Amino acid sequence: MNNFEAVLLLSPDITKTVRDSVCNSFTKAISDRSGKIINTEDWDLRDLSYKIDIYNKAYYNFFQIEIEGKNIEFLKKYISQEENIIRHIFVKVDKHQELPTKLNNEKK
Amino acid sequence: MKKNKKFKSRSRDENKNSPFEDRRKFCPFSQKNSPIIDYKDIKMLNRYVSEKGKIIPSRITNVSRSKQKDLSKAIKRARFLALMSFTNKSYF
Repeated sequence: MNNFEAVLLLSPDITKTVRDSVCNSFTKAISDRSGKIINTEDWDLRDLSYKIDIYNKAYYNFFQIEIEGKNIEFLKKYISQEENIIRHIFVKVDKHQELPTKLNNEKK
Repeated sequence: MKKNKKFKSRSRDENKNSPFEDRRKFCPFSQKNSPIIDYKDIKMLNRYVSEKGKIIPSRITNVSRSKQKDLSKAIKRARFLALMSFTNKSYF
């Protein structure tokens, strides 16, 4: 088991109920692969510094995950099938940071 | 007086005004309680990026070689997530 960080960008057109269901299905996909979510954080709507597809804004979601490395491939495949996720990143870390992150602190 | 000449001693006060004074350079990330390099900390990353959005070379910012590697990786991650821009064209 290794520690990973994940950031998902969701399209700005969808409503909050849809956003929650996307996040829930993502957490379900992780738990199916015998991983677990340690913390989540919502960064809200942010301006993108360049256009992605047709969007100028996006909803950011941040996850701290503990999962085996080979299962990340399945998660990537799952995300590519999801329409509402514009972009994603997985980063391997040695140790999870304490929340809140600096990006979230700055805005408030 | 003769002894002093032998040791080639120049006091610090004498050196202070010279433009060739060897100031101690240090890496801003490898000190005690220095900030951790992180792709989510955009305010810190923006200090190591030029006006056009390019990464500033370490010979100017004095970041050590290993930390510059981490720094450039963090900047590239932030760019991918659209937290930072690849090119800053605001002045056109």
